[in-house]
Amino acid sequence: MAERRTTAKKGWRPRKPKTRKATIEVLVPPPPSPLRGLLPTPPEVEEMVESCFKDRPASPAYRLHTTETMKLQYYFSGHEVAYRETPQGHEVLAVGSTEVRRLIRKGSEEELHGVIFAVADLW
Amino acid sequence: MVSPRVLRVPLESYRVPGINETLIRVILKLSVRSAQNRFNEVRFQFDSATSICSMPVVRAVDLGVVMPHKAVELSVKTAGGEKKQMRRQGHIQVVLPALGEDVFDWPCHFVEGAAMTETPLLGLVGVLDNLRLTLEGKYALEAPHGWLLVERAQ
Repeated sequence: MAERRTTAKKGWRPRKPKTRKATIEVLVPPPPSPLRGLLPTPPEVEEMVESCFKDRPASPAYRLHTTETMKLQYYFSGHEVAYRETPQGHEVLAVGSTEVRRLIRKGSEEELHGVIFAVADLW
Repeated sequence: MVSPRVLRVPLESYRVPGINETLIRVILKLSVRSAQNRFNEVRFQFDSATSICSMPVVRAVDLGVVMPHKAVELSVKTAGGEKKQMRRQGHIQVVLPALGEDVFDWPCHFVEGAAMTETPLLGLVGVLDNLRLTLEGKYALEAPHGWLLVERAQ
């Protein structure tokens, strides 16, 4: 009969995990731009869009959508945004939680129809 | 073979600081039923790693979605570790106009304390009983990063 082997040694104890130092970087969003309505396209956004579609050309509609989303990111990095999609681009209605809440409280159902609520990605 | 009633949704591209690659996300517009039996369009982010659909409580209130008052504390696994959230466990009734007039009923967690602007998540439970969701990386001018194909489940 085969002898049963075990790898466990007498007095074995689980190793304590090594203490590791971690650096936590807190990303604080910069203050949002005071701009509202349709936003101008800054050169930084144009450059970013170019790099996105360097290897994968996109239709004008798709390009416009990406450009508009990146403009929100550029101007309102990390902040809450309420906007509406128009043929000319994203029309910004409110930025930051106070303005967004005010828009919801005061806006009629018609005014809020089609409004998109989002948090702009960090730039 | 792809059935004739397929909704093709272009994947959205975006960039974030510190990452060189262009990132991709899947946004699906759904019409969600309110207590007044009206349907409001809501943008959901499809996440195949999410079990149950979720939406901020404040957003549900704004949309007039019927939800329970009782909230329970749940431990939610995220990419950044586990975090505790107060959630109300309910359902949403949803229509995908491009696929017909059928109303789907899916479990949904309404998250307390989440900001109005948090994007609601489209998870798997219930959704896969009604829909077949396929991610396809096929290039097209209208969708340089590919598509989400949405079909009725057979």
